[in-house]
Amino acid sequence: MRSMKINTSFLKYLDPVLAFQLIFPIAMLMVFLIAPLLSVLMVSVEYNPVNVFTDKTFVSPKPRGQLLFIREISFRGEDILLLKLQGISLGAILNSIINASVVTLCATIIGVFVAFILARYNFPGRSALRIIATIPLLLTPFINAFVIKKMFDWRDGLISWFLNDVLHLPIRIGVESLAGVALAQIITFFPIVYLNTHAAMVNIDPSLEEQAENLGAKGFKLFRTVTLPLSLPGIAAGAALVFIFSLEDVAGPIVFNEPRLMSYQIFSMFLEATTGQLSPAAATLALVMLIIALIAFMSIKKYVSLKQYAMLSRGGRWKPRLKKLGKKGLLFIYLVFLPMLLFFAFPQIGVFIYAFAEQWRGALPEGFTFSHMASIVNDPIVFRGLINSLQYSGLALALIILLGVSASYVASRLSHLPGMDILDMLVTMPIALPGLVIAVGYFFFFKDTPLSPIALGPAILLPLAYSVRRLPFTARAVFAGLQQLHMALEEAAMNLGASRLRVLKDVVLPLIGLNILSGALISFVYCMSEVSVSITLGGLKGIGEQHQAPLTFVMKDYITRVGGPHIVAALGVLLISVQIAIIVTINYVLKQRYAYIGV
Amino acid sequence: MARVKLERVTKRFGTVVAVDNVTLGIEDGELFTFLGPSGCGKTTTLRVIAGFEIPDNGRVYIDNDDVTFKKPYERDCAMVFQNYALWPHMTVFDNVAYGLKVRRKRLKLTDEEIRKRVLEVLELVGLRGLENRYPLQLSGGQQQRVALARALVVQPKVLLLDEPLSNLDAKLRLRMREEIKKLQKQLGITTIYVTHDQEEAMSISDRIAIMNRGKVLQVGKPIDVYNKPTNLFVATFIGRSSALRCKIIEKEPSGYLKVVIGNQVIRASPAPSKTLSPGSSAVAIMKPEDVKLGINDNVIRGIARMSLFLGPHKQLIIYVADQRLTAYIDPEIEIEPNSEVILRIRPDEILVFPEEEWEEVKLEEI
Repeated sequence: MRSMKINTSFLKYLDPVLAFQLIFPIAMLMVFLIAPLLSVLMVSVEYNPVNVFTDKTFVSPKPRGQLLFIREISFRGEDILLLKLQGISLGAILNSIINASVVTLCATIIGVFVAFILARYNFPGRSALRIIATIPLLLTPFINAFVIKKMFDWRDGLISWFLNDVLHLPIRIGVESLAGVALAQIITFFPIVYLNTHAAMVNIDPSLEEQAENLGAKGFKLFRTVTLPLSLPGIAAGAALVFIFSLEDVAGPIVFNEPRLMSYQIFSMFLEATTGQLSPAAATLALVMLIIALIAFMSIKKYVSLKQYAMLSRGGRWKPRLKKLGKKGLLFIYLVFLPMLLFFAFPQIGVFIYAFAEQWRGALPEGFTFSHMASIVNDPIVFRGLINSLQYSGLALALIILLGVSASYVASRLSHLPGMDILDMLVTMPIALPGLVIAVGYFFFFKDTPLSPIALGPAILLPLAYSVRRLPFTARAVFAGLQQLHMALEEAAMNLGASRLRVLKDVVLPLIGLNILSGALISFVYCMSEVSVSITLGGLKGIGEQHQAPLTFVMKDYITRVGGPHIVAALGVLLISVQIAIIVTINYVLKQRYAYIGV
Repeated sequence: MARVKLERVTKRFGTVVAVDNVTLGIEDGELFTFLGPSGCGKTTTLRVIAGFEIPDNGRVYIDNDDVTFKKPYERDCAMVFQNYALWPHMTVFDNVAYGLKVRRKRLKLTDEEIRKRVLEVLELVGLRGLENRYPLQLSGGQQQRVALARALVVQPKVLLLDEPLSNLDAKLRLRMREEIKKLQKQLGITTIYVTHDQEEAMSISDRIAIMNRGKVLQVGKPIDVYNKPTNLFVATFIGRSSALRCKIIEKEPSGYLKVVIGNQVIRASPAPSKTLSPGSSAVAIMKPEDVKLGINDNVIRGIARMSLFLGPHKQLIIYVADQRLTAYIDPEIEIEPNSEVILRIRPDEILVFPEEEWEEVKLEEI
């Protein structure tokens, strides 16, 4: 009886606007997130999931292939030693898990190392290096992996060219198949760990490290006993994201033509789905992927919230500790660290080379042309894809803003209401959900509805999928803004007679407008470059004249065509330009951001 | 202008009872203060009146309207927030004009009338000429005045002030306190004030409600609350009184009690309407200004431990059988540390409370 009473008293706080903001996101996420995930589970159970685990394609107890392939061969009239890193296969499921683990481990070590140097040492050019370290994050679907493949091609790759043709060492190096995928993912994803760790390290109260030094800890001991443990929440968050992104990455496997991974398997099942049927094995693989991703997400979420103590100590703002480097240190920075960062940034540089080179078949590019860039407009299929993506992303963005603002507002303002953490969970979870799982879920859940992707094409479902997948970016930005916005500012308006809608219009939106804008811009970029759902659901109607496929599907299609990579690179340049413009805008906008309350 | 009535109001947050069965009435034109330590429920009570919290039980009336479940924007009680809550994206003028703009249709106000009223109220709080500034460009005291003007301009039935002076420095606080009192009397507006500062409460209020742990312990005029506490918590919270444990020996026919502190017998008065039977343990309350050096027929001896010069007087800390007693003495008098002193105090200035009430006080002292 008593609890009934409390619940009804909570309802008294609801006005129509709040009620809409509560119900709309929940209803949308139930239909376009939870229901599709449940249908993945149901289809998988119906089909008898054991079949997947006994299939040698997916689980093979006998290892195949070798990690390192070494042979002396004669190449272009010269005896050389050929070293090829390839990888061992244990079936797609195990391969995916092993691959994601290796990628996470390597990306974490590199990311923490880079973050530590950039967060704790000062040297001329540090801010330039900080920018270079984030270049790999610029999204250039397919083509960046293609550049990495090209770098490590043993016949016409840059590395082998440099060793063999420039230095005249009798050696050529190649990285292929599983190892190639892993390498591409490490280079692409390490900045995620770097950024999270850097943020954590900058947030550590310097007095904590100073106290340790004061008690006699220094050097690596200080790092191991104080800095590292205090940064762990940031490191863990970054590592978990890398693990999940690696698991669901499908561009790497496509470029390296490596089908022995779960993501590629699901993708290839979609290639046959144009007939209207999707193999139920896709549901089982998706379920496995979902479970692994959710375990990673949940454990890290719990761990991170348990260990948020970096900011525990009191005190206002501080200047992060920056040590000046001696001569040896500076030599290390400019001769080892900088070249390393440039190497990681090379895929994006390579995208530009591909986009403007007439051709790049041998080790070095040849000629200069604008014709690839012109193809973006001149090639009707490419242009159509670009227009489609702009439309889908625009639609998704409208929905994202409405959902993100509503859900964040309710979650921050009714945080005392029971069940609010579930709403928060629903809104942030998609960041950890593999896109392929959503694609499979949408296919099975909507195939017999009016929204069927087979009958209707992807034009409706794709914007919806984008909006669910990219919601967390906007929702988090808005939530952060709302936490800065003291509730008293709204109460003051309500107290003077303004209704909820009027308070939103007069007080909330003007004060968090910049947060919404910056969140929305990020969501937009990630919609435009979305791969997993785009190349599966998005391609169900194929591409031809008047096709419905998004830009990334076109990129996937062109990456395997003769001369296609140049056009994909041109699109990559376009995407990079948009991203840089948006990042600059946000930094400029964020600088303008003011959070003001009282004293 | 209006009367406010709370009837058996209870508000819980989870298992915490923030406001515990509070019933009281606030008169038309009165300046009424909720005073208590932090976490005592005073702000929650104010927020219940404003409509930001809906009580789990009980009713709130403004005049004779039951407003318990009305939305904050339907209540017509303007609030000044502790941190002022000025909108940073609006000028001083727009901040103050906001309440009028929201009511424009209902009150059929023209732009010109709004302008006139805003300027009038800015004049009243002494901010004329600053209307085009943004809050960030103002000092703390000026921000406070804007917040006050914003609340006053809508001529609310009730003015709510939530620790309005706590963010100001000491000097400004004294001045604003005078100004608020002057404005309130000038406008005759029913005002509910929340503070944890007893001096502020006593200087400004017509009546005070002292709260602790969600309960209202005593309601009365400042002088009554100060001199006639009905409760041990109030007696120790108000003023700088010392509390000494004692045992009741006997009740004299005169009404005074004979109590023993340590091994010294002294005469004291029973707190109003308390049952204090001989032989029971009790707590004796003495105000430092009532404890004097010298001899008469009611004295107590102790060891002077320390003296602290406070300006108008000197605070002497004395130990009586391991219990602390403070006295304000003439600052000219020098007392050797650890010397014995004899203190006199009139029996009617020692208030004795039953020991049961001690628990609540001790909890607050931790």
